[in-house]
Amino acid sequence: MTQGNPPEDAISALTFSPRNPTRLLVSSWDKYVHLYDTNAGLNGSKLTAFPHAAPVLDCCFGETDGVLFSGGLDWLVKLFDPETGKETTLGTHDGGVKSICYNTEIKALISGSWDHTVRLFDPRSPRQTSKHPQPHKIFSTSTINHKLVVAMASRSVYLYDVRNMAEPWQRRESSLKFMTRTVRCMPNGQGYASSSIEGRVAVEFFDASDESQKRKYAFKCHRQVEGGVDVVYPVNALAFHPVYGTFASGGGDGIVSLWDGMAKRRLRQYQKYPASIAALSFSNNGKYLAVGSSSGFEDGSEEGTCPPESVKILVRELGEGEGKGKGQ
Amino acid sequence: MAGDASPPTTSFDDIELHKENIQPLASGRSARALAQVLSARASPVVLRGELAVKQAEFEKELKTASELDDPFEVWVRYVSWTVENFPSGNSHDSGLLNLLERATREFLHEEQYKNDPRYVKLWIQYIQNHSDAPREAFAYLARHNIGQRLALFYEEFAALLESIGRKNQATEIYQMGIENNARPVDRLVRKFDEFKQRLEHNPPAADEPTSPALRVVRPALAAKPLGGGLGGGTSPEDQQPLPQSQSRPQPAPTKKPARQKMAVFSDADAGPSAKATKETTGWEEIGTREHRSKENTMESKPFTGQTLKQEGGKKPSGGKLMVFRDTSLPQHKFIGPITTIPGKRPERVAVNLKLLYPEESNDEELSFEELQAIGRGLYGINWNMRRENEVGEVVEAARRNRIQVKSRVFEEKRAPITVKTVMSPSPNKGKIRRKGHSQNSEPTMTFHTRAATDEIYDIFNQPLQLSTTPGDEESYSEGEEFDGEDYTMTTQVGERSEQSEGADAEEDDDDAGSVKSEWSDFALRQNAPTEGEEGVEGVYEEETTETQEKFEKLAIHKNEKLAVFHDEPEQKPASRLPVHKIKIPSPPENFNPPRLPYNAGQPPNQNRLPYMTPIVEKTESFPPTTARRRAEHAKTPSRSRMPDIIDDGPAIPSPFGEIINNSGKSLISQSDPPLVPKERERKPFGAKPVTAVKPVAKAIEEPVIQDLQCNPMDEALRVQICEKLSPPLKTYEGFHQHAGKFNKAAEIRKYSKAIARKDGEKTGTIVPEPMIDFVTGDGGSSYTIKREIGKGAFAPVYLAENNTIADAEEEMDDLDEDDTEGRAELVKKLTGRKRFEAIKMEHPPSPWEFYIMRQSIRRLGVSRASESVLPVHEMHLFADEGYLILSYRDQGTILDLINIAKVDKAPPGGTGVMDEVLVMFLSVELLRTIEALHARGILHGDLKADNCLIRFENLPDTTWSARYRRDGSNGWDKKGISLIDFGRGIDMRLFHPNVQFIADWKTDTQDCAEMREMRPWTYQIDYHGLAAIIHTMLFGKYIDTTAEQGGLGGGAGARKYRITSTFKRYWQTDIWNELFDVLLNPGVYTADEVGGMMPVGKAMRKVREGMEQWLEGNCEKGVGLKGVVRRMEGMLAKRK
Repeated sequence: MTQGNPPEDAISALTFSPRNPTRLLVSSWDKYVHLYDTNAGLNGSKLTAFPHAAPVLDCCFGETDGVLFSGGLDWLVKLFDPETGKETTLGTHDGGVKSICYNTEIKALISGSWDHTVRLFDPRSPRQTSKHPQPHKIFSTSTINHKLVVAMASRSVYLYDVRNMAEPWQRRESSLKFMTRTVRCMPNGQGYASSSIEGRVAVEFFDASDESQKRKYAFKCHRQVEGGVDVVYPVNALAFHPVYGTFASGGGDGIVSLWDGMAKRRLRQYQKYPASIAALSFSNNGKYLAVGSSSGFEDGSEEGTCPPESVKILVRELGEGEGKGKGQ
Repeated sequence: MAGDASPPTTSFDDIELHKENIQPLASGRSARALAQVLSARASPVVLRGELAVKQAEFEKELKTASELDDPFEVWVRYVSWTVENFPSGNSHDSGLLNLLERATREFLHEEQYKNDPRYVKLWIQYIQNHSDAPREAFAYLARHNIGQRLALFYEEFAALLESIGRKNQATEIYQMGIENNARPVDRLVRKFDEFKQRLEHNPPAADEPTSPALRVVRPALAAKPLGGGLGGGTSPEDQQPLPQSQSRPQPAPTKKPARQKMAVFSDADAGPSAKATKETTGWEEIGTREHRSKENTMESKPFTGQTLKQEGGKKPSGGKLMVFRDTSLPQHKFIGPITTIPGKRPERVAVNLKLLYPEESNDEELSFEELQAIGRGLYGINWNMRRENEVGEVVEAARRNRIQVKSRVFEEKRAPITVKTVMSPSPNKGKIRRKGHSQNSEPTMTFHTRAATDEIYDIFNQPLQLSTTPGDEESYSEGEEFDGEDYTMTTQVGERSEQSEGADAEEDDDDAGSVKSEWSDFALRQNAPTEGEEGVEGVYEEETTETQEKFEKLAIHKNEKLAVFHDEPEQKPASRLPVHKIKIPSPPENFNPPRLPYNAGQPPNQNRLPYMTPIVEKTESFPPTTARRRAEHAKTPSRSRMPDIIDDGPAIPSPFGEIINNSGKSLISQSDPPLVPKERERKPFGAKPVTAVKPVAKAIEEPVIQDLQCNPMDEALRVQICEKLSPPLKTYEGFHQHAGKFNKAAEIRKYSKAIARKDGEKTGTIVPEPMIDFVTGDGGSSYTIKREIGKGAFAPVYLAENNTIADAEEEMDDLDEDDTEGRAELVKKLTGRKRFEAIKMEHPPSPWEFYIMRQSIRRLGVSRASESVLPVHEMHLFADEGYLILSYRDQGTILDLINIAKVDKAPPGGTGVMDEVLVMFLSVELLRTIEALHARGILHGDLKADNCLIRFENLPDTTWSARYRRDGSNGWDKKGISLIDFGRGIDMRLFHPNVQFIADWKTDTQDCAEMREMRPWTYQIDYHGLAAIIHTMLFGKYIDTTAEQGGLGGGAGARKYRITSTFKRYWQTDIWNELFDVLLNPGVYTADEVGGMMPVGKAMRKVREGMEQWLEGNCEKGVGLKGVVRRMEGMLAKRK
């Protein structure tokens, strides 16, 4: 199903509500954060949208569906209430806010920015609670339980325990040779997957013990043979299935693949989308997979214009057992 | 032959031991000869040498054999000698197959020998033992009427046919023989009878081919020979058992369309002109074995661009979708480099890595979003500042009214935002703030949009006076106010402009080339606490008041800079400026990205796209230091005098008599310029009072130099050594010391310059080739300089024609055939020398290199390593110049190979470095040579890629196996390297066993760690040199090492060095790691050595053997080592 009223510019992130399988939040380069009800009408409907001064780079849901967060190129982290339309600025970074995520354990919004800091905000006060300098620009963050994964430039990955943000819990180097694109935590809190600009996905585990680390692996994906040459596309998006723990990857080639991280198998590959995949999200019940597709991010070109017609949000209803891993 | 007539009985025990290695002969072997040959096996090296000498003699004889009455006799002797002395039959050493082939082909058309039993026997020997298609060969002989009158031929042919079950044909052959009255008829008849008897017991099978064994050649067909063999047995049923007959090369392919298929196999070399117009028998040659089976050998091809079809792999059903993709997705403007990993499909990263990992800045990598933001001009905006400005309503108020607010909802909500662009303080103007860490400067803001840049180029495109007239400026600021608000990224570019183009333009002017780093400034500066409001205001005021002034400046600025940017605006006038600002590096100053030195370490996360500039020769690897400016006179700065450490102090006795002393003096006077402060001489040793050690060593008699610490390259020290040498240098063969000056250097230099110029312009006067004559006791020698082949600033190397040899060769041609004596003499003269040789002209002269090279060769003796030292023929030492006559090798150096690989395999599609297998092979050669030299107390001292000549002797495929042989057999000893430039060599035997050397020259990463850290060293210099060469071969860049503190901690000795480059995953990382570990940390491995001292021969040998083993196991994978070497030979030949 194609979601109606897509953003007018490239999609930067999209996420289903962790409580409602029909609430979809989409941030876009058109400087808005859009909230959709995917279940309304034939093509769903846009409930509301709220603006930033510059393109929005990430968005997420807060404690309830009435709390939406977003961060953008305008350095701001914002809180938005879709009911009232009230907009609050949670705080400011000194650089574009690349990635935000909400941790339910400490009820804090975590934002990572190109200004080399990770900051925590309390959405209730609302104010910035802490600021944690990092060695590099933050490219992606993801959190589960008490764990926070911060993927940065220069392939460095820091793991934090959100209860003790003073020191990184583990400092790691990405297992991938190229720049990290996205990192996502497993729903079971065991580990995380990361993807790079060079068609690879790595699956790693939090546990620093040797046997756990032995289980980590990386695989190639999102490659296409063109004229006898394997063209390697960036893997822009990752999303874990909340029920089965399998995950989907979306690449610059416009392909979404479903993987079983435990069995190290590809479950399926969906039909190619007309443009590069920008973001992926599973609904909380695992019934839907939202795919944000827009051109402009296939090859890292800085000139990437994004014609509005290429911007599409597709919500895929998964069949019975679709996305279920082997042996589950 | 079997019966040995000679009296002493032969012990068969000797033979028994070797019986597996003896090829049985139908005629049997002489036991005595066998015993003789085999008993000599005790020293195979010596034996091989002897045999090689004998072979060479035969070869020589063969050359002149055509003048003999019975030239074939020589061949017969040669063959029988070979058979006797190489009991194991055909091998690389014996070259029996090759020999037989040559012998039989040589006399193919000689009527004289057609029915000579010896000749036919040779053929039969060849056919029986070596031919892959014996029946064809017999038919071929028949066609050429060879042996047609000899019973031998028919007997052998019939026997062969019988043995392969063609009894009818055998019958036919016997009958034919009898018909032809072949001698001795009686024997033939007897054999035929025997055959018939056998036939009765064992009649021919019914399905046996019945076609004639030898077809009659029909004249029409003979005139137009067909593709297939016309000789015997090409009837259809015959084709099957012997498919080789198809592959027989046909030199005269007048093809019929029907037989077009055959054309595939026709020799490519046979051009249309080769069409046979002359009468032929239709089967000109049978071809050598190799020639005949050449279709079976895969021609080596570069792997680049080849795809290996993966079987079974599920292809993504992309075909149809591709088309779709092409229409809907924007075409990739960027085509990345294709990387190929052997055995895998080549890969190309769709992402423009150059953008993500910017090269020209020290900044971090950029993510897609950042690039996009840059592209949209939204990056590097100080939003805090913006918002603060929002608050500064007062300043804004006047402006706000004029702002055309866009109909965007959110803009209505938001207070207007003005883009502030603060000019950088004027002192910074015109400078590239590339590093941009000047945090203490006022916060700078760059607003970088397409529109802004367009505007700039608009400005550039305007007539200059427009912007300088005040009126215009006003209108300009008008526009500035008009649109200042519009910072949106939507596409209404037309009306958009910056509120402060002036500033922007200036920013841009400054930073056009380093725009990105400017942004990175921001990233950095953002950390700094933002300036307070007042600061902002102040800045703003400054801007408004200074606008005019700055504008004027800008005008001037533009004027200046226009030249730099001049291309840009012309090509893309004011249209959408490419946002690839990063790609257009045009900082006017210090702009030299493509010429980055190789060892200019890039930040680790950015070195994925190394520059592919070929490495240029660094003749002078030790940059001249300020302390040793005399580099103008000495080839290497180290070759300088260090009087402090010489026992004899100032009173050095002249080693070479008056002349040398003079030269020494002149050297000193020239090369000890006053700009070298006196105390500097001592400085490197300041910390170590070396002189104190000397008296202790004095007592020891043996070594020439008793110092425990010294600079081995020191000129005075060398002079001292040369003087004390025993036997003296003068007694060395080829060493000539001449009185007086020679004064030829200038002339030669002038000539070589003229030649170089001529090459460039193809005009100019013809400069006579300078001739240099050396008058010596035994007639002297004379050379004609041809051209410069090696550029050393202080010791150029020239290609020279050895006039003596040239004359001798010409004389040889003129010489009367009967004048064997004169011939022999000339041959003697020619031995070991070539017409073209290399002359190294040194000045100031030094006999040192000659001494070291001679010693190396002498000490290495008859060993494989001695092949790897370039032979030195003569040394002519004059007071002012020195001439070293060396063998000439025209295949270039390892450095050339590296550079060839760089071009040949440059990305896309390649790795830019040599194949691992080739590196491994050359490394083994290097290691073996250095190992041997070290074992014999010689240090090279200046190992680098350009001091290793390639020694790939031309070998036919018959004598060179594809399988690598570590013992050098099968032609592999003919492929290797030749070390040159021993000018910095060290003879360890001249020194105290515990000597330690000190380098006094300025060191860099190409020097071993000990030198860099001012620690004493010995063999490390060569180990590091080796590591450097191998590193350069592997990675295509110069070595760089890092030190790791060893586990024991403390002390320099505990440190462990390793290279900073990382090996490719598919390389033999274990081998390479071990190798570099040994070479960079030789001290760790001394425990196993004799006396616990260097050289670490054992460790080196272990590594080398590991490499050899790997090579033997993997030399035939892919193109194969031989293929790679062959290819390189071709490339090296082409290079010229």
